[in-house]
Amino acid sequence: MNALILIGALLALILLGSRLFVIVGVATALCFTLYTEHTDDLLQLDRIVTKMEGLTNKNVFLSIPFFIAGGTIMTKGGIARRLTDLARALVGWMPGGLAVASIVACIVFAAISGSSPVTLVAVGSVMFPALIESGYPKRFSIGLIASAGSLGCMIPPAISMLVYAISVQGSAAVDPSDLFFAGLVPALFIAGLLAIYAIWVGFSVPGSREPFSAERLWETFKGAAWALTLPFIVLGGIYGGVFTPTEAGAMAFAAAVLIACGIHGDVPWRQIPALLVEATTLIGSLILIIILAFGLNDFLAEIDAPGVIRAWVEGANLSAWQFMLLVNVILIVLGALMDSISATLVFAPILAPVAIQHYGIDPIHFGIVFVVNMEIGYLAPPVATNLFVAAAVFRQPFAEVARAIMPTLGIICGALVVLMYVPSLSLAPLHWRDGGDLWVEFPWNGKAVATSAPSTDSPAAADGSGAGSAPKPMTMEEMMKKAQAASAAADQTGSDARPTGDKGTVPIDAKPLTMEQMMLKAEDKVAQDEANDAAKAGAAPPAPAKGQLTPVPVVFQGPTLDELPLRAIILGRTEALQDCADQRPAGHDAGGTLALDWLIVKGVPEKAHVVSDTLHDKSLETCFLGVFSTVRYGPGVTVEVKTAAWTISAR
Amino acid sequence: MTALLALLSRFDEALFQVERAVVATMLGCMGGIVFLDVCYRVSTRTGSLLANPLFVGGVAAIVGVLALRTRGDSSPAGLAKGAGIGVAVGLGQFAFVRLLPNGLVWSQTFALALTLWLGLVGASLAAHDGRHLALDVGTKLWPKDVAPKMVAIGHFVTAAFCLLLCYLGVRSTAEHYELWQATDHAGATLSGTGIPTWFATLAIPYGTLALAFRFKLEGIRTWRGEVEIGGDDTLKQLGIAGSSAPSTFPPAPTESTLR
Repeated sequence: MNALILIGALLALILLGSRLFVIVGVATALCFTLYTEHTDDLLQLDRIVTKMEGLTNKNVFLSIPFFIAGGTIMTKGGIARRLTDLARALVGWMPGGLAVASIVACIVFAAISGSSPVTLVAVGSVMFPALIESGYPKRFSIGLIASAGSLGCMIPPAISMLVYAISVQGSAAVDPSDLFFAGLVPALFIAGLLAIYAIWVGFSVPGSREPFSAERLWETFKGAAWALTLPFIVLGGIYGGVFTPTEAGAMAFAAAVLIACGIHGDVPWRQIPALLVEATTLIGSLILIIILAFGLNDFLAEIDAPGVIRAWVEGANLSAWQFMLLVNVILIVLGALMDSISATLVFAPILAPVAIQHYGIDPIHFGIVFVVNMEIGYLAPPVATNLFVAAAVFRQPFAEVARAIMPTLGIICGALVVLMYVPSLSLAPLHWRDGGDLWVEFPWNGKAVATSAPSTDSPAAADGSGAGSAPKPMTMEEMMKKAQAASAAADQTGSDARPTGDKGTVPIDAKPLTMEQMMLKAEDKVAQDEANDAAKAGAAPPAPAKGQLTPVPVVFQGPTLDELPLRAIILGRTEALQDCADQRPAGHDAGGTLALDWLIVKGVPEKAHVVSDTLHDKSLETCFLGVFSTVRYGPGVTVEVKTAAWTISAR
Repeated sequence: MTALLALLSRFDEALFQVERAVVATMLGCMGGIVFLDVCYRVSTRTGSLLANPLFVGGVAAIVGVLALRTRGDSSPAGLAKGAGIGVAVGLGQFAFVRLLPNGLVWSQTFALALTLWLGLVGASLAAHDGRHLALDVGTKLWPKDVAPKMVAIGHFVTAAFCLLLCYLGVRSTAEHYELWQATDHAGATLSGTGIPTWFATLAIPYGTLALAFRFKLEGIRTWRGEVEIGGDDTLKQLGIAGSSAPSTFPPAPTESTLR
């Protein structure tokens, strides 16, 4: 019955031509209302808003507006023309040179704009008439440019990769910069296959070659040189350890303004506000889908959708290669029916845990395969964004564009199979960087594949994104489950106290404290600690009072004065959060209030800076991340977290 | 009814202009402060060449000269301008590090808070421009005379959904506000910024209310037959209609022109 209501509501919304964010939002709201407890009030729906608010905790998300704004500014200038001129001068002399130049221009432009449809429009509107004029078949030209344009979702800084990294945070720490790096070879591999196809077709087109001229190459290079610096700034900055992927977005944005307005003068300064509005509108059309999909993910995690799928694949006795094949078929179908970002947001958190934890598939490799699938989704009818765009830009019927895409779509699908079963294509660059084996075998037998742990002092790690399969902090869901299981175990044994890890017990019927009580308690606790510290100077911390959580000292001592790396924050907060989660009553997995926390910094040198020494927040994650991320530390600095009281809000 | 609609439309346009100004300022500020924070961090990294104002000034001077040459200014005055840029950047870095001993550690938290505003006001702008992605497959199934009514109902449903989100957003923001008040403005703040959390979350009720208003207005217009239904607006929805791709394609050089 519930399923009928859900399907009926969604069908009705589709028939009414509702906006995509409404469909995702209503699906989320109905799922929570129909399939979870507390259906008699709005408590479950509050989670949707909590998820929206949670956006302020996702640092990586910050890069999306910056990259979109940078791409918008660069696209408005004459970058597309400069890049296509350079590509023609560079490879136009080859058989099928103009077609190959189209592919090269698409790759470089995608690296700048970060968007497949924008690449298709910008490069396609320049190169399509040129291809037709040179005698290339119309269908070939349409198919090639539409396919090459879709490579944008694999070329850094790709929004789809950022979205994947954000989506799978619950099951694996995936560093967007690692995804960027890992995506380069697969993108070049697919581009290479398309180029071979273009050259093969080019042999039968008499006018497909242009004479080579070093002078023209130099002139066009000079024209495009500034635009070409942008990918190098982004990638070089990230891999050179200068800034994080999030900060790279801001750098790309600043560089785009400087290049388009200050250097080329293509875009007048007074046009910048309008372009920022343009970028914001694009962000606004995506953001509701993204944050409402986070709510749906929350529901899927609550009903343990990955666990259900895992149980199913175990029951079906699928091997790793069969699972991956099945995943790809599902993703291609989904990609054809949904837009890529929505599909990633909804299905990556479901499929990634099974692939990573059950089959030992590397999260980065899985991410690349996922993104290639989404790239195919851009091209596979009926909801094929790039085909709609191509039909509009090239002024061709949709059916004609759909037919034209088939050969190149076949090539990309073939490339996907290779990429899927040869993880080296995506992982070798990372292993090369980290000094590991370049050959990585697909886990045919489903055993876990070791991946390189990130360096904790890298900016990428500091971005909170982690890399590979580094020692992974438990997710909130995992901690909640553990706490609930422990509570259930205590109930079964008839104990009147909840287990609290190794920190003692807290009575189950402990009455939630008021804010004032908690403040007083907390102040007492600090006073007690300070007295103990003074009296015992260097001795072990005092035993906690019953009913209170144990202070969790987390010590960071850096070799130099620096900001506290977020990787260390995550490792640090794992222990702290674990304590809270273990003592939380079962069933109260949301809406909890961490009442009071301290950040005590001892031995602060002159330049060390503590922005906030107390913080109250509804969200554990916010609280701990917030506290720690504001600390600059150095030699001799000890950062200590004390969690004094934990209660459940009455809402 | 027509007069009321005209009044609401004028209000919609006025709101649109205000929102445009707000988001442009926000996005510019966000990009600026995160950029400056990175510059600060790079400038204070021990042992790094980029921490040396002389080196940074020199690089800036070279980039400045090259940039001016790109713009066609190869004169001695251009060289002087480039040197001036180098000196300004070097001095700027020197002063920046000393004026802000702790840098802008709050920049990303602040920018993330603005991201929520940016996203929701952006969503409101997208509603004004009809840029929200829609599955219009369903509406094409209706007969031509029924389709506008169905689309209008779809807009009303969207408005109702946005109002629900608005209500939930108000509840949540009120909780943040109460906590902030209860802790004498010490708690429920964005870490490192002192900005109350309710200020960030206020974006949710505002944005969703604006969305509800716009979809309701669009629904009424569509119901009254003032909005044309159908047509391929894929490019518009993707925000790339009228993209700046050059309209004139430079002719491919022939062998004779290259010689």
